[in-house]
Amino acid sequence: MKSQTYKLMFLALIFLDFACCYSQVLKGVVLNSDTKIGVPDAYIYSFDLEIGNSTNEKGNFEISQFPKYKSKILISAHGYEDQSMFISSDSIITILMEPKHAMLDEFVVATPTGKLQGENITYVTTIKLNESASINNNTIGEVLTNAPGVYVASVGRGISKPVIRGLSGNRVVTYLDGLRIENQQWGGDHGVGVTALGIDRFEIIKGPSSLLYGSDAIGGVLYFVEAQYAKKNTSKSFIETSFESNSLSNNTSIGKQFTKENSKFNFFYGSSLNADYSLPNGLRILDSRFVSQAFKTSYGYNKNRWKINVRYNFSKSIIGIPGHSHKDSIYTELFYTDKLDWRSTLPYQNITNNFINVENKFYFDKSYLTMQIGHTINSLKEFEEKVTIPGIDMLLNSSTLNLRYAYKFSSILELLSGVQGMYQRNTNGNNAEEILIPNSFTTDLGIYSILFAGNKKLKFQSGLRTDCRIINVDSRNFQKDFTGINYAVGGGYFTKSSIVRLNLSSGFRAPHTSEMIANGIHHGSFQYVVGDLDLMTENANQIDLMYEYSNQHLAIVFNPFYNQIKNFIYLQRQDSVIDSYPVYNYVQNEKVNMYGADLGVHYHPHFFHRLHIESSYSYLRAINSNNEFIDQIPPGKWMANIKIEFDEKEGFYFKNIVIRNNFILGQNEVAPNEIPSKGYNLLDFGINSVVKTKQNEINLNAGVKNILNCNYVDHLSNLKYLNIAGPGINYYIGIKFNIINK
Amino acid sequence: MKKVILGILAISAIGFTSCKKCSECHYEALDSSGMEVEVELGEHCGDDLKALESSGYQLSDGTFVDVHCHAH
Repeated sequence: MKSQTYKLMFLALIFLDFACCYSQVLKGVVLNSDTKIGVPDAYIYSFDLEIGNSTNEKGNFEISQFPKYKSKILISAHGYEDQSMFISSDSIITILMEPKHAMLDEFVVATPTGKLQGENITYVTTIKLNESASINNNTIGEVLTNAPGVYVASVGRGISKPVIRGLSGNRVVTYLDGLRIENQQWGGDHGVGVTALGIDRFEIIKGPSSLLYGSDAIGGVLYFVEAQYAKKNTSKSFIETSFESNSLSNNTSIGKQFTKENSKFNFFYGSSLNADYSLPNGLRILDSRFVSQAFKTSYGYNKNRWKINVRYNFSKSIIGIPGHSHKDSIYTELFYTDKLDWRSTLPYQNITNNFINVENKFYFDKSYLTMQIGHTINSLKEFEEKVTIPGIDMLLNSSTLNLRYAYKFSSILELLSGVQGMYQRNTNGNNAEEILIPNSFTTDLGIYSILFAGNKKLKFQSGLRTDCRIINVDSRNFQKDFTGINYAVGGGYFTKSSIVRLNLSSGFRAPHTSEMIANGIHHGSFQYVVGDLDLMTENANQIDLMYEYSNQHLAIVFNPFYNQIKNFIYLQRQDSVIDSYPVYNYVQNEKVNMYGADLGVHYHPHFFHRLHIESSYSYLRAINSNNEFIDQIPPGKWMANIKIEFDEKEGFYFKNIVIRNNFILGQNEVAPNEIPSKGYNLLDFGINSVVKTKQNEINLNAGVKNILNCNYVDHLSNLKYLNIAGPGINYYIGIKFNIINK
Repeated sequence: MKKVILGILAISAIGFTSCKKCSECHYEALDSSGMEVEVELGEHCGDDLKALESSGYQLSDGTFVDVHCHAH
C-alpha cells in the first residue's frame, strides 16, 4: 500500500515537472503594413492561455511564460484590422497590421473549441455585453431579447428565460465559463440564473448541441464568458450606475481587475433595485418589482505549461411574481396599482446562487488537457401566502466534472475527446408547505470524441457521444436510467468573401425529475402539476445550413434549419382543478417538426463610414404529429439597428448614436388551448459619449426605450392570459468611471 | 489597490446582510351582519411572526384561525 502511494507521488511529480518546464518568452514586433513603422499600444492576446501584453512605443512586445504549445493569438490595435495567427514561443515574429478601412465584425473566439468564429464549422452567435449596451439593457433578459434569433419567455421584468429556436427550460443549457448552471430551469417562472455582472460576452449555439454540452441541449446552448483579466502588471477599476424612469430602477456595480506577474485577479459587486414597472397608461403592474445583488471573483495563474482559474459567483434575488390572485373573479385591472413601491410583497421568489469553478489546463507540444471541477448551489424559495413559511423550498446541489483532451496530429487534423459528469441532489426544506419534487438525486455521465480535419478552405468535423442518466427518488425507492447516443457531422467551405456551413447534429434529453414525479401546486406558474413515470427520452435531429457573405461594406447571413424532436414532452392542461389550481399533466407527443430561418444583414456604406445598418429577421414554425401547432412558439421577429459612430479624441466626444427598432409579428399559429397574440413595434434611441483623459475614461449614456409608448402583450409572456402589457416609455441615464493604472 | 478590494468586499458584506423581517398581519372573520372582514393584528417580527403564521391566532374561545401577513 505504502509503495503504491510512493509510486503515485513519483508519477505526479514527473507529471508536474513535465507540465511546468519548457516555456519560453514570445517576442515580436507589430508594424504598420504600409509604412513599416512600429504600432504602439497594440494588444497581443491569447484567449486560450488568457495571457497578453501591449507593444511599446516602437511596436515591440514580449510575453513571458508562453508555452511551446502552438496557440492562436489575436492582435488588435486602434485604427487597424484585427489579426489572428498560430504561434509558439520558439519564434520571433513580425506582425504587419493593415490600417482599418471598415470593420464589420471583430475576431471572436468560440468556446470551448477555442476556434475563431469565422473558422468554426458550427455557427456561433456572439453578443458582447458592452456592444449591446449601445442602448442600455437593464436586465439579462433585455440583453437576450435584443439578440438575433433569441427570444425570452418572461414573467414581468424580473423573470426571463431564454428561448432558442422555440425551445426553453431544460432544453436550453446554460454554461458560465465551462460550468454548467443548474437552477431548477424546468420551471416556467425560474429565470436564467446568471447576472450580467462581470460578463464580457455570451455565445449562442442554436439547435441540438449534445455532443459538446451534454444531454438536455436539444434546443441550444447559452455560453457566458466572464470578463478578461487586466493586461500584465496593470490594474483597472470601474464604478458604474444607471437609472431608468419606468420602474424607477437603479443598477450600480463596481469592479477591480489587476495582474501581478503570473497572478490575475477580478472582483465585481453589483446591485439592482426595481419598483413595479409602469404601463403606457401610467398605472403600474403590482408585484413586478425585484431586487438583486451579486458578487463574483476570479483568480488566475499561469506558469510555463500550466494555467489555473478559480472562479466564484454569489447572487441573491428577491423577485415579485406578478399576475397572481386567489380571488374568484380575475380581470386585468386587478393587477394594476397607482402606488410606487420597491418593498417585496407576496408572492415572491427568494433565490440564492453559489457557483464555484476550478479549471486546470496543461499544455504539451501538440496537445492540451483541461480538467474542470465545479459545484453549484441553488436555493429557490417561493413565498406564496406566508412571509416566513415558503410554499416551495428547494435546494439544488450539483457537482460537475469536465475532462477534455485535444491532440493535434498535424495542422489539418485534430482530435478532441472528453468526459463530463454530474451528480445532482434536490432537497426540500422541512418548513415548505408544498413538495413539488420529492428529495431525489441524478447522476449523469457522458463520453465524447470529435475529429476536426481540413485546411483553410475546406473543413470537416464529426463526433460521437454516449450518455447515461440515472434518477433516484429517496421516498419512493424509485430508480430509472436513460441512455443516449448522439452524433454531429459538419462541413464548411471558407473563402475570403463567403462561408458555407452544413451541419447535422443530434441531441437527447432524459425526462427531468419534475416531469416524472411532480405532483403538487406550483405557485409561480399557477398550476397543479402531475408527472408521468413512463415518459421516454426526447431525441432531436437537426439539419442546419448557413451561408455567410461579407466584404468591407456588406455582410449577409442566411441560416435555414429543420429540427425534428421525437417523444416531445409538454404540459397539457386538463379539465380538472385541484385546490383551485388548474391541473396540468406532463404528456408526450410522437414527434414535433420545427423549421425556420434566420436572416441577417450588416451594411456599412463606403460614402459614409460612420454609419452602420444592421437588420435581422427570424422565423420559426412548429407542428406536432397531430398536425397541431406547439404552445409558446415565438412569432417572427424583425430587428433593425442604425448606428452612427464618431472619432475618438482626448476630452469629451460623442461615441455613437443608436436607433433600434424591434418589430414582433403577431402569432396566430397557436396550440389548441393557447391564445394568439398581436404584433407590436418597439422603437428605442440611445446616445453614448466619453470623457477621455490620459489614464481615465468616463462613459456617459442616455436614451429612451419604447419611444412610441406602445401597448403590447408579448406572445411568450406568462402574463398574456391576463392581458397584462409590457413596460411603456422608459427614459434612462447612466455613467461609468473607468480608472486604468499602467 | 487593497483599499478598493476591501471596499468591494465591505459593500458586498453590507449588501448581503438582511434585516429583521416584520409584517402587518390580519385574520378573516365574519361580522355581526355575516360579512367577511379583516381583523388587524398589527405588526409582528422575527420568531413571533413565524409562530403566528405557523400556529395561527388564538381567539378568546380557544380556537385558532389562519393569519395572513404582508411582506415589507
